[in-house]
Amino acid sequence: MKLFVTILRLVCCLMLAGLILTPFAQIVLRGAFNLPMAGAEEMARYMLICLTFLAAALVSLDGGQIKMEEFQAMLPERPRWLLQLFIEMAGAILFAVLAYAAIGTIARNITSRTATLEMPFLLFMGPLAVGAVLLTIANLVLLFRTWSRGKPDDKQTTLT
Amino acid sequence: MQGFIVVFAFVGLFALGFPVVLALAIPCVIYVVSNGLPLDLVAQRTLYALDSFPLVAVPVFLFVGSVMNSAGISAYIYRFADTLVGRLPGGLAQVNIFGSLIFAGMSGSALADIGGIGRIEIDAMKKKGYNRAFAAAVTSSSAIVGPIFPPSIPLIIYGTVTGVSVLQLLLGGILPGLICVAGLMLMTAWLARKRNYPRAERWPTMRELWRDMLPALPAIMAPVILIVGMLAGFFTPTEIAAVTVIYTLLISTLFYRDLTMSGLYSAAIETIRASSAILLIVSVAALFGWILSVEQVPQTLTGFMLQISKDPYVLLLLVNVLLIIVGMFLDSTTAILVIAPIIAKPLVLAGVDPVHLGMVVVFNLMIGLLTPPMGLALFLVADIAEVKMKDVLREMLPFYIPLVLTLLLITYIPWITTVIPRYFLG
Repeated sequence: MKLFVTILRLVCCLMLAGLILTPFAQIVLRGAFNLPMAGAEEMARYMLICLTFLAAALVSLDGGQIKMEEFQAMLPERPRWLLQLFIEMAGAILFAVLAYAAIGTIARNITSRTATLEMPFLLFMGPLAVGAVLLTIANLVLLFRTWSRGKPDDKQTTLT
Repeated sequence: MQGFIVVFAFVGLFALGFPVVLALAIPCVIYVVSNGLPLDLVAQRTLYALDSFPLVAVPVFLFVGSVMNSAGISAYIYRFADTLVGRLPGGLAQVNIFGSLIFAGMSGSALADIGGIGRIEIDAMKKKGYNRAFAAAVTSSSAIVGPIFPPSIPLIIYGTVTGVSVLQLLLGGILPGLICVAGLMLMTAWLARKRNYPRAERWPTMRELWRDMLPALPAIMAPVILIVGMLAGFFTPTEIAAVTVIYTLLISTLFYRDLTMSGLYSAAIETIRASSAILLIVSVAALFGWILSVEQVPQTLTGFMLQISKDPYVLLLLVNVLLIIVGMFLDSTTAILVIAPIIAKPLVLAGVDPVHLGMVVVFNLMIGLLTPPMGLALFLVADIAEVKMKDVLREMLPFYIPLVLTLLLITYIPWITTVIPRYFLG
């Protein structure tokens, strides 16, 4: 698990580096050599997609998704625990549906390609499918943790 | 009708403590399934929302703020601000506000400001005997200049959602940001005289000013490069974000030499975490926005609002009241994504300039960062200053006056927002 998280973090760091370097390379090539970089914008957009969906599971596991638990905190312990279990289960189901939708979309458009870089659709929508699967797993892990703890997590409005 | 059910379901789930992503997505997926629409729609809307070049600027600008904090650049900015304005009534409180303005020119996030230079400012004010709650109030109120003065993450998101030029929005933030800072400094001076707060014993000599400006100069030059680059039309907002990061990394490693590999890694992880949390909401909100538009929620609201009045100033007043209430409960990103697509159409139809409207919306929601119960800036600053939220709120009360006055000025004098983008971009 730890190794997987480390690898995922490194992949996200590479995406972030790409997000910075691609527009910068475009400026340098365009300004200094009058050579506009074809597909640079598409590449940057793709790396943004990868970064967002691949890192989303890490954010969920760290409790970093933006939420407000002020009203939940007013509930007694038992109902609050049940509500937290329900939220995590709903999250797992929702992201499983999203993964199913993404995989189905890929299967139906398997021969399509993107406009400029001619990226296969599998590669283009892949981050969404992988991210949704990881988010499903992350929510199941959270569900398991909450269940095992037998009591609710402390109230904590997340700062991002 | 179904569109309004989706909206109310979102509000209900959010209030129950569902993460924003789930509160937005669950009603949308139920809507798609119950209407027999293909699930492909969910995947495509979610993915294509992020297929946007201006949005690339979001993680890149967030990274600038994180690197500045990791590299200790904030400390140099603080020292320079201390020398320059420390003699003004309110001393370190004025330094706090002026330092935030410089920081705002590189980072587009209020929370990065509070977590970075804000931490230094609060520590310094505590050491000089300032009331902790007052230090926290000054820090949080001045931090909201970050998302107003360019660069600005909320303005980039607003532009992406509504289709308004991000460049015009960013340039439109220059004057409102400066007016807000001036208002906060005036209020601080008044409070300082009343409460007899300490200040520097004398004005700095040219030599002292030069001594402290020199180390801060590379950092101060970053906003200059950024604004000139945008005004001259050399770069798009995303490109300027990349240039700012490269510039910040260069000065951090070659000039300040305080940035370590672990510091850089921490900054990257912090950026990835914040970016993913924000952008995941952006992606899901696209589906939410699509459902609202299919169900003609904006059109219904347009009819309703135009029935009340066709005067853009009356409508802007209504929007301000709505946003102040919304800002108390929703974080700014979510509020922009949910509210902007609904209110933009009636207001623009009534004759409000889209750039002007963007500034009103974002400034209003930034005030929301400082209002309970969902005042993220208040939570963070109370944590850093180690004071109770109610004490911060008590000290915040006078600062709401310049903030609301700035909001009214921005609302009723559109020129403040539109003059710079119109002059330079036409």
